[in-house]
Amino acid sequence: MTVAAAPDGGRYPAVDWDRVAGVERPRQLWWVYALVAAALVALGGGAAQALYYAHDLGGMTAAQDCLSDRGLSLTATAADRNLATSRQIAECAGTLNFRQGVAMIVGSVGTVAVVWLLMVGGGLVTRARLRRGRTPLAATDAARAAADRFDRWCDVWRLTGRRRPRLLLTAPGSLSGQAFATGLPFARPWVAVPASYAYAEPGQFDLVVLHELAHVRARDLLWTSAVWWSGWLGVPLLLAVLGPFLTRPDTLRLLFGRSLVLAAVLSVVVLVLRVALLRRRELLADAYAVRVLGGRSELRAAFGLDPDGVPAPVRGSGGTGFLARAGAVGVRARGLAATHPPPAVRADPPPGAVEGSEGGFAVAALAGLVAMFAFQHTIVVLSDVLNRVPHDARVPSDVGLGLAALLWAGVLVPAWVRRARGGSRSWWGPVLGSVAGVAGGYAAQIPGGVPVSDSQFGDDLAFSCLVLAAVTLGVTVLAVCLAVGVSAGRRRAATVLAVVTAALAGTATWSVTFTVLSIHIVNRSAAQDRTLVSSMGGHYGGWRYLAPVLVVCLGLTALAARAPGRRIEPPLERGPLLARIRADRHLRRLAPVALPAIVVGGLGGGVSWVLRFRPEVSGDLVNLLVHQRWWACALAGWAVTAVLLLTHADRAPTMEPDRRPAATGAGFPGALAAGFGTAALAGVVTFLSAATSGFGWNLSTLSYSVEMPLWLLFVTTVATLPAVFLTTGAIRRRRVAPWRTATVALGTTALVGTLVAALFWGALAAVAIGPHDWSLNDAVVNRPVAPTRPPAALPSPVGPGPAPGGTADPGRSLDDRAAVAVVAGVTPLLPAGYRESVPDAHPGLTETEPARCGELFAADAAAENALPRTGQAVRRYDFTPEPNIAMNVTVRVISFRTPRPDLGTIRGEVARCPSFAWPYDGADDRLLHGTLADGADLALPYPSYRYHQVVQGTAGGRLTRTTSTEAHVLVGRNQIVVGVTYTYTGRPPSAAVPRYAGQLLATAPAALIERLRAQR
Amino acid sequence: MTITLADLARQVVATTDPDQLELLEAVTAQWNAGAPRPRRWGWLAGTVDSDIEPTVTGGIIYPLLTSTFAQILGTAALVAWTRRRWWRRRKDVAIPQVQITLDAHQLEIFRVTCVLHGTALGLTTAQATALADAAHGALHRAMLAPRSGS
Repeated sequence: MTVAAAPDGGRYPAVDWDRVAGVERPRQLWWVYALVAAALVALGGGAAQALYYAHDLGGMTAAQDCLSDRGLSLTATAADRNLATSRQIAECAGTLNFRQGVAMIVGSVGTVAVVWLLMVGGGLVTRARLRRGRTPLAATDAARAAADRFDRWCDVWRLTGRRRPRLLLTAPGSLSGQAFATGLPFARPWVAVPASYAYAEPGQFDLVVLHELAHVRARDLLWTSAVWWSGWLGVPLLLAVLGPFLTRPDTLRLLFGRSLVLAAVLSVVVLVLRVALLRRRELLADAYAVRVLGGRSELRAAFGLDPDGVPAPVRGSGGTGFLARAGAVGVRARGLAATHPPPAVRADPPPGAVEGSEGGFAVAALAGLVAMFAFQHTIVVLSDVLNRVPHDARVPSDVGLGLAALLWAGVLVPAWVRRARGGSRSWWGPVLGSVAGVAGGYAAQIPGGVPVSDSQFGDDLAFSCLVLAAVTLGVTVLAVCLAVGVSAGRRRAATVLAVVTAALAGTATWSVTFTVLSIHIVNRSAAQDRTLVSSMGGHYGGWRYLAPVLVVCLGLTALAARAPGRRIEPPLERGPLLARIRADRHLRRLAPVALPAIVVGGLGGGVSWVLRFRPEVSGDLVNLLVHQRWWACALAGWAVTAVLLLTHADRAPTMEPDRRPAATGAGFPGALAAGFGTAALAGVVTFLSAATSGFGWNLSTLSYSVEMPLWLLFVTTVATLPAVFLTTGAIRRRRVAPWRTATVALGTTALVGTLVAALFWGALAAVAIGPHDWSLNDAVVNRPVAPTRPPAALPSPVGPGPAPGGTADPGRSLDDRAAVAVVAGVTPLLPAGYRESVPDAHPGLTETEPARCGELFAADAAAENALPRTGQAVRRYDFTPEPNIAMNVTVRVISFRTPRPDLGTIRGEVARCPSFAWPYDGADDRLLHGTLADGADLALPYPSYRYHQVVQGTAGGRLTRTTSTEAHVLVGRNQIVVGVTYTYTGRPPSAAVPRYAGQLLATAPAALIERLRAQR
Repeated sequence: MTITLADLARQVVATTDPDQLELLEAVTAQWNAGAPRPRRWGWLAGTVDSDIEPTVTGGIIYPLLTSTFAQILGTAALVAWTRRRWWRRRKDVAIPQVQITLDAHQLEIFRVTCVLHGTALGLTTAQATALADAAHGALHRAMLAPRSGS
């Protein structure tokens, strides 16, 4: 304790308040709030989707019915969709999607509100208990002295208003027996200190108060609560919204098992990370108290250690036997769940434990995961909500990616800046964590939600995730380099600019990746992929202005990243250009690299264009020459960045730990900005070369000549940065002597010349531009789209039937033979190879849950059988439209003596028994579950009714689902019943099967009626 | 020699930390109402604690004395004194009101035992020794008191 010249008096020692006032408060973890909020929003959206599905809130049955009529399925993947089908899906499911989008917004807001209320509730309960724990000791002299001391600590840091905590002295032996702080949103925090401390050694009171004030000033009170409740909320929330499935555990496991497991795993991860974070915050709070008190003696004394002695020995496991090893594992497991490090560690924390930041593997992975969850949530909500209005299909995706990238960069770049300042840790963990988090967060579904990745890439998901991981590696390395670059300075603006730059880079990279991948999985054309990648940065690609903005951001970042106090050398006011370049340290380093690159790259591109372009050349060659011109400039810029980083490896970031934080990576933003500047200037030189050779002074051409090289350089940088990153580390390890200026200039010239030559000779065709990309891409784009056809086994059910125009009364009475002839009228509509059979009479369901359904079915069946009839026929036609799909069409024609008045019986069954189950020994839960739902009316001039029945059950854990649609038509005395049923286990059928079923049901009754008319 | 735990505790605190007597009164009142059972509210998650326990004489004296006497006299004996007998028709005896009876031999081993328990409770050896000395002195005085009175 530093004793001031004038003691404060009383029992507490004097303090140098001026020194104490200057002690910096512990850093705040605002990023935890950002991650928690984003995770809760995503979790709420997923839960809303599950609620929507489980309770059929949006009329999913009606939507599916509408889609069936059009031969489509709600589960159609991107590969199944085209412009026409997308429009039809929007027509059928538009309302459904809009309602779902609104439900997801409500779910997100509601989930955040629930966590908020839990935080407030927990805080209120704590305060109520604290009020009960008041002690009469609070009125004693010792307690008053303690309160005065507490106020003095608050005054010195000007803690006023809501920021000023309230001290509560608690009765000895009550409550937790320890000092603690508790907070409520928008309210003063409370610091509860056992009254015993008022009688303890004065330094002990100061220690615990300063420890708790550190938590208060670091705003640790609310995030711990928010993360806690977020961790516990996932699984219960999902189970709560899945109410109807809780009585059907097998179905629940099949449909939402993955979601529940994921929610549980995420909960464990979140809670483990919370305690890990808390352990570090405890060390930080201890360090704060130690800094204020001026030494560790009080802290060591608090743990019963020798105040001035050597660090406490760490106890060993006590042996090597089984019990010792088991004990060590138990201790380690208990340590994982402990919110405080062991006393020995707290008294003497290992080097770097306090200063370390939170940007390691776990936090990087979590940030990537939550960012991709935010993307999935945003794209689904925006797609659903914007469904009703015309919009660019890329808007939801790009907005979602923008938010995800901002969250990802906003959390990780500042953490990595702090990590770089520590300078003693490897970057492998953060880089791999970020890549794993982003790829995993995209591939995984939000618990309860529909995975976006499945609908985007379907069977190509693994390949797509690998590509996403590869590009994320590039963006992550870029972000790490930026963070390392700005870590040398202390300006916050530099960090903000680095965040913006990394977020822009992430958004563009992921957006282009998804766009190219979604087209690649359809066309599988490398030429089209290359064309798309380059055109995304063009006038119509959407990212035209990204590269110029990135250049500005990088330049500003490089300026802001300069270490404080470093004098920026003013340029010479007068004198020849060469002298001015020599006078500026940065230009002295840059000029021998950039100038040769600009000349070789720019002139190379321009001369190539001028010499090789002819008015009569093909579109392929024009495309090749234009792209080679742009690529030459981009490669010149890439060479400059690479040479600057490699020749100044002491200032370039590496994956390896480095204990020279001030120098490490400081030159990266500048090197990148120099590369972009070189590409832009080379583009200008290219344009000038062409323009002076008679190709005109078109401003649009100039604009393209600058923009496109910048864009291509950005793409190249993201793709190659990991390799550069590794190379700089290797060079630094070998401690290569500084390069001479002439060597650097010659080397750069040779590198750019080699790259440009390789480009012109086609050596880079696979990655840059191919000789026939124009025609190949044109062929793919203008390829006639083959109409979607059903599988060979499913002909169009609008087949040749009896010619219309029969004159017989279709409502007349039929005998059995005539009824069989009518039933046969359906066969022209069926695929070849069907098997005809006479089905057994179905006994009907009598034993059901609820029992009233079975009673109703039995009563209706008995009543129908009692109706006198003149004839009837029933036939069943079985066929296999697709592997794993069993389909049958059942046709019944019943001729009654007197016409049935209506179809109220069947309507009543559907209305009164929308959901029921009945015993089935083969099912895992010994039950089959059925649902009944109304279908669309048939467009016939007779009374008709259509309904859907879905029966599902699980056997051996596999879901088997049977979907039936029956159409009933009353034609005078005759009743026609056509039922189409298909059954599958596991993978659902393609959209062709429900489409065929819908079309058959639309045409078969009419064909049978025509058969009635035709027969006499 | 017979003495209540409350009297013994008061004499120890008066000897070692007389300014903690008012704290001891509050602690004794708490123990008279039942042995304190500190509760943690981790499940509420609204708190961030320090994980540092205060070690003041007034707060630690009862755990120290009860654990020491439990070892010397036997845990069963100590517990039995606090139990209500069905024929006595009275409530449980609070820990501070338990009357301790020691013989000369037990008094001899009390001091060493008290130091061991003090260090186990987190006191430094010096602090534990000071408390043990004070308690030993108080017990010794109590042992001598009837003899001088007779």
